[in-house]
This record gives sequence, C-alpha cells and structure tokens, in this order.
Amino acid sequence: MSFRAVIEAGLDSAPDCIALSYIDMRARLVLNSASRTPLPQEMLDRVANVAARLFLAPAFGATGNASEMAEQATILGSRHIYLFQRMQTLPDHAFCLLCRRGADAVGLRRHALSLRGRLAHAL
Amino acid sequence: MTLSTEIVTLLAGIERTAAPRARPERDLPGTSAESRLEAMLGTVEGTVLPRRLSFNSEGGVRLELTARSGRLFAPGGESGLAGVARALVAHARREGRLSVSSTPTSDDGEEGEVSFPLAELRAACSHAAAMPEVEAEPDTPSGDGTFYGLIAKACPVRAEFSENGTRLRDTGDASLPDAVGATALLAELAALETEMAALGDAPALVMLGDGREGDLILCGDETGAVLGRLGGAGWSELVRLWDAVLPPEPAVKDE
Repeated sequence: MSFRAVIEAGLDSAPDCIALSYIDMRARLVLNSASRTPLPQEMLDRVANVAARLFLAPAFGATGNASEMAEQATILGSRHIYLFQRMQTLPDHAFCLLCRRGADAVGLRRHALSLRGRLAHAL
Repeated sequence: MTLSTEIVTLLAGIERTAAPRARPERDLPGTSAESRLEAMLGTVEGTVLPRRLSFNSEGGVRLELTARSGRLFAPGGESGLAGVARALVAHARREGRLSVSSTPTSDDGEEGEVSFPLAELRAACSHAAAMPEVEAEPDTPSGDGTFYGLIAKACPVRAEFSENGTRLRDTGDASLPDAVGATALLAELAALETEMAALGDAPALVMLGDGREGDLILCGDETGAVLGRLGGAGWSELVRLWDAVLPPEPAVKDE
C-alpha cells in the first residue's frame, strides 16, 4: 500500500477524526494530509508548529522525567482533540489525528499506535 | 608555597566562605496559625540577600516565595500582594509541622513582581486572616467544576501559577519541575495556547505521554496555569472531567 493510501485509510478507519496530517517537525511542514473537507493551509501550518513544540521543544525534555520525551501527546481543545504521534524510526516526523470532541480517547491512542506501524512500513 | 600562591589560596577560601549557600530545612516555631504566620513573616524579615524561601507543610504542600532586604516579592498591585498574603495565611493554618528552607537566587522575583515592605505584607495577612474563605487546605483555588477543580481531581501532584508565572502553591512532589523548568514549560504552554487560539480551540489542555499515571499535564486560562502529573485515574478520567468542565460544542457544518 502506498504512503498516501495509508494516510487515507488511516483517516477512513477513524470515524471521529476529521483530518490526518503527516508532519516534518524540523521543517514545520505538513508533508501529507487527508481530511473529510478541505482544510486551509494556515491550519495545517499551525498543526505542524504545535507538533514541533510538543516533541522538539527543549522545555519538555528538561524536567527530569522520561515521559517528557514523549512519543505521544494530546491536546484537548474546546472543539477538537488533537492526538500527536511521533514516528519511531524518524523522530523528526510525527502525525496528527484531528478529531471531534467526544471521540473515544483510548481508542484513538490505540489507533495512532497501529497507524504508526503502517506508516513506517509504507515509507 | 610562594607568597602569591598562598594569597590566591586564601582568597579562594574567602570566596567560598562568602558565597551564598542553601540553608537546610528547619522547623518553624509555633503551634497556632498566628504564631506560625508570625514565624514566616519573621523569616521574610530576616532575609537580607535575595533568597527563594520554601515553606513546606507536613502534608507535602510547598509555598515558594522570593525575599530580599526584608521585603517580599509578589505580583504588582494590591491583588498580587493579597494573593500571596492569602497563601501565607492558608499555609500557616495547615495541620502538622511547618518548615522552611531557602536557596540563594540572583533575581528579584519573577518577571512582573515588585517588592513589598513587611508592614504592607503584615497588613495584607491580617486582612486575609479575617476573611472567612481562607481555609486550611486551599492548595487548589477550588474543588468545584472549574478548570482548577478539574486539575485538582485528575492531578494529585501539581503546581499552580498566577497569570504572570508566579508559583502560587504546589503539592510538593519531586516530579514537579523546578523554577527554571517551570518557567520554560509555562513559556511553551503560552506558545501552544496562542497556536490553539488561532486554531479556534482555546482553552486547551496539553498532555505529554500516552495517558499513564505521571504524565505531564499543562493547562492555563486567563487567571493562571497549572503543571501537573496525571493521577492513577488516567487519561479517560481526565477526558471525562474536561468534557464536564467544557462541554463539547455542537459539530460545525464544515466538519
């Protein structure tokens, strides 16, 4: 399956999600994305910025706890849930599942871990 | 040893002796809230060089303040001093032993803080002590269904900060970031909040980790911020509480 097909399948198999973005955090760029409806570029750029802050900011690695070097991070917003998953083999890369509030948070985390493996395989 | 070498050695020794050092923790005298408050004020009064004072309760709640020349640093304005006074009064009312330790600091409090003379602090404490709502366990501003109430339930270990970054109180756990770490984390949180606001998703709660006990939680609103460690109830409970405090908005058309 191509990388693009994995992205699209990753979104299709998460009914509560409205977008899936694959991000190069060093470049702060969304490299690939799929969404239920077209999203503005500015929104994708901001999602890339947030991912970079969560996983690359020194502050999160300086508090003496291993969990701050997290591979997963979640933001509960007023309208959405943003689940960020860092890639294992490419630590500068991550993807973001943008989901509706009320989505099954535990299920989303499982989905993200499974999707990470499929994306890594397709790279 | 030559004379010059001896002089250098002596000077180095003097420098070491004169360097400010951390003072070990010591118990504060007094058993009543009034006498313990007086002991805390006395500690501030007796602080000449800038120091970070850490007042620790037996229950593990820590109150950190900066003092210098007998003056206390607090957020500017009457409300800033009143907040610190309330925290001091509440701390004095805690059950069990109360101790203090101090470490030298090079700064004059946090950004946005100003120093208050002891007389003003004492007057603010008298006023706070007369207020009925200052109780013995205000380690969270509220236990209700608000933002901070949520965090208090989900994060047994947490530190709370005012809107200008002053550490108001914390639960005294070694896994909480120190002052430098907290400053950096609050700066990151502010940057994330800006991004989330631009995405139309403020306020927001940030969790680093995969939802296990001990994961770092950050959130803030216009009144301040909290850094905490996720408790045993875990991620599902945090989401449930978030939904209770901030019910999901109806889905918009473009989704």
